[in-house]
Amino acid sequence: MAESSLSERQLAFMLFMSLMGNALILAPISGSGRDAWISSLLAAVIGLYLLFAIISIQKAFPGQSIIKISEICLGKLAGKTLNLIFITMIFYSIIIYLFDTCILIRTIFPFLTCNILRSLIIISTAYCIYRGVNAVGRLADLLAPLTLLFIVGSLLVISTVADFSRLQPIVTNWRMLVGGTLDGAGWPYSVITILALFLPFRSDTGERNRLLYIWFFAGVIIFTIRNILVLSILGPEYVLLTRFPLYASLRFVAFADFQRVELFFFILWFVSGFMVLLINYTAGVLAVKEFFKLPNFKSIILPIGFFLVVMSLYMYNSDMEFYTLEGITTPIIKLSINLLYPTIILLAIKIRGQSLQSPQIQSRPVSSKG
Amino acid sequence: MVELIIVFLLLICIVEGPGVIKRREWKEILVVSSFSLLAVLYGLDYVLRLYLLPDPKSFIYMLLPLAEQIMDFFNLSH
Repeated sequence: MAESSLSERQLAFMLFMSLMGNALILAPISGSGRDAWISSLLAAVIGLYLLFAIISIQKAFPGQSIIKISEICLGKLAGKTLNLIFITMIFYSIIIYLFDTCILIRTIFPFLTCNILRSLIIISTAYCIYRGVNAVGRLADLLAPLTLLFIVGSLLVISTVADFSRLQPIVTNWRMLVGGTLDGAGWPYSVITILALFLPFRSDTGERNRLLYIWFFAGVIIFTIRNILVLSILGPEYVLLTRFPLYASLRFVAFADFQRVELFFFILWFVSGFMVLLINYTAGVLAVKEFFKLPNFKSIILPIGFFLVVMSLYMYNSDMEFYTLEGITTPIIKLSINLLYPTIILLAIKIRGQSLQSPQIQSRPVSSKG
Repeated sequence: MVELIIVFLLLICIVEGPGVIKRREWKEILVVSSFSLLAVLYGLDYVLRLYLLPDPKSFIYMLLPLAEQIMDFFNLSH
């Protein structure tokens, strides 16, 4: 397969891994109490809309990057401004994922310093991006089934200590439910927008996108079951106090003489954390390449990585500050930008319709030439 | 941190330097240099604890009161 093409299956696995990411171990929507699992289910509607929106945009401009489509539909100034906001959001997401992955690794290896750890993670991901977009897709293809296996395993293991009475009564506070739905729509579901940057690389340009929707729903089911189980093991109050609720849930499990069962699943969190970082980093590099209309993206991989490592250290060197600030603001930032960006472009396509059928559309499709 | 900056700069120069200069793509050179320069400046600002450069986090702090109001309206706890 060419270095710059992705199959529908690879895209579907990339979507799945982006959804799982750090949300698997952290606690999205935990603020909405025992109804978090219902909020998670409702928030998936926004995710479904975003998936539909980016696919529709891609259908209107096959082979074109959303960065370029934005400029075609909205004009140079408005398009560039919107793109700049979107790219800033991608960079901010990468900084957050980098921080989260480091914090997780440091729970096991507390003596590793942040400077070294963040640099090592970025250099590892940069190497994957150097191999091309297809290599990222193949890695997702390879790791998604393994991740799924460990997810199912971890859910089965923690289900042995679940106490479902902790989930009752349900829907006692509608405001919390609506708030939780918006929170969940912001993170993890709105991250789907990032996939728009990979859709132009799709090799099989079939009309059907069945696999993308199937793996989206697989993610939704996993989040819902995970929320039900974690809440029924830890209870809504304790979920708020723990940094990694799934990890904390696994610590409740004991099998005969086996101890520290949670460490068996460490690979799951590392793999999902690494993959979401890799996908976002690749998307960031592709977006910058399209924004500046560069001939290839490989030369900007390391400079962007260097910039992100430094900015992550500059912005967040204390996890106390990070969790105070990030937990409250990130869902709002992500929801507003990730929801508005494709919606505005989709609306522009619908409104301008035929007038957009200009020669620009027949221009050279996006490439990942290195 | 200073070691980190040196390692990254060396990596960029060794891996990307020859190719970028050979291609003579000025826009590419400008983008590579801009990101590297920004990283060096912020890195030095961080190491020397000068904090002269604008902190992107201040924008997030500006959003914090609004985010807290939304959280309070929906009775969400964090």
